[in-house]
Amino acid sequence: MAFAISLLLFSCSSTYKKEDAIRSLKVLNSDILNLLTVTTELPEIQALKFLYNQANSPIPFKKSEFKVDNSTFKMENMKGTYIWNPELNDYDFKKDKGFIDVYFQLACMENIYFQILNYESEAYSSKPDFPTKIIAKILDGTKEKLVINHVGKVKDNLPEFMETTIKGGEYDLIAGFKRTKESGDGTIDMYWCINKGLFTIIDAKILAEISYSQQGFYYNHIAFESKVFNHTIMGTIDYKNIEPTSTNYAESFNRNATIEIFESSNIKVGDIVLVSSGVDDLQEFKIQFENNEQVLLKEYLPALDKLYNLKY
Amino acid sequence: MKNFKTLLAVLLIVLMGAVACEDDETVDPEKTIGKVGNYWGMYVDNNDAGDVTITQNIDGNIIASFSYDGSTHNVEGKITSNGIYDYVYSNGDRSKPFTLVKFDAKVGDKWEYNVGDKKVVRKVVKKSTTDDVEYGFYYVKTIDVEETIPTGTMVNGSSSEIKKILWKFNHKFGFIEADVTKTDNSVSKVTSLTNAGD
Repeated sequence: MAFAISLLLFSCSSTYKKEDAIRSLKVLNSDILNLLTVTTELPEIQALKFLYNQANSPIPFKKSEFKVDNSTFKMENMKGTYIWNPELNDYDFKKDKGFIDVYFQLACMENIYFQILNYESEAYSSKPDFPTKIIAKILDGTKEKLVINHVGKVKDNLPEFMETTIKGGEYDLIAGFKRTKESGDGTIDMYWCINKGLFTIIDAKILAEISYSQQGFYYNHIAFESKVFNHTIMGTIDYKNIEPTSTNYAESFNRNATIEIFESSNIKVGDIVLVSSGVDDLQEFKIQFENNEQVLLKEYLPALDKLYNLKY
Repeated sequence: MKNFKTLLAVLLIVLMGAVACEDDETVDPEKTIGKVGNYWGMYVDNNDAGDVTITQNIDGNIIASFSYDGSTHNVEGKITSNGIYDYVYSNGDRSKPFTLVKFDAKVGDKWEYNVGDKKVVRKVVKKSTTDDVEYGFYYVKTIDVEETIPTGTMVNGSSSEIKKILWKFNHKFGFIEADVTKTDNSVSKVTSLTNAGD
């Protein structure tokens, strides 16, 4: 229903000339970069980065030379107090409680510690294991800086549903996922949003039609809409009709996919299209302006590259 | 490790490629090595990787099962008289097979499969003119297919840990061996030392 209303609204839009479209993209890029900068500087995110980077941190997801494997993290075996010892570059451990407390030092917070009150996960057809229960907090003394609540469920060897909320001081992140199955077909409904105070910074929804196979499932059709600050990226991808082995795959993709960027006042900025670069079989996403001129998407939205390549 | 599972999946499909050498593309499962109940033993770097067993074959579309990491996994593929196809990159969508080998292919022939903006390429890089590859007690001719997987290619919902596979096939025995290069540049050799079709 929401998609139908959006389609109706955006179908009445006008389109920016190239110059205005470029200005609009630069604003979007700047908004994303600012969000990344502000987010990475938050003390609680600094705290998570510290924990993630220590090989012996008692947390399920941490930096690894190999692919993340959380299957070895068993809450029952790890309960106790962990105190970071910078001289040993490791934690001192006391088995003294029924949950996990991790104490460490950060320049921006003196009395910081991370608390895991509950963590459960379940194996499914992929890796890492799917978390089915998380209750965790970052505290500065008695003050809660970040509270993580997550529930999930695995069915038929695949994630069936999840609800996650991450609440910080002035913001919260909410994410959800629901998969259905009826005979050999089904749907996936996903959403996530970031709110700061009364403002919604990001609000993304994906609705997919899928079919099941012995290997899991594959997409037949995807409709998505993502509000990012003052812009909306929306589209449909008719996967079922895209020919992955076509000699002109880009044309097949574009014929079956519509991806558009709008500024919030319903002014269209451009279309995102797939283009063969003609070099080393590379294909790249470009933005097509009102005058049909195409420019590499990452040229005006380098923040997307930064987002994809976040490293700690 | 999931990618290793996927690799095994492809390999077992390949094993059934020993139906090759017929003149047409029709498939009678009872006359092929993809016959239900057939099984093979797999080895990775000379370590036993367990058996794979055919559990279904309908007009060449097969389902095979194997145990890995304590669970039973099923994979799908297609065997015709002239080629082997898999559904790894389509995640099991049977309307989108990807050619692994055609036994009448020539050096330089290639097949491509696009996943988003990534393109997986399988290219014939060698075709023996003499029996030059060891296979058990034999030396056999092979057709070698190099598969290149771009960084970030999604397989079953996560990024592939494999970047290159050099496949070796024989028109009679099907799969001979594969050198698998992971994204960390480590290389594993995968072989099949038993074959239910013998």
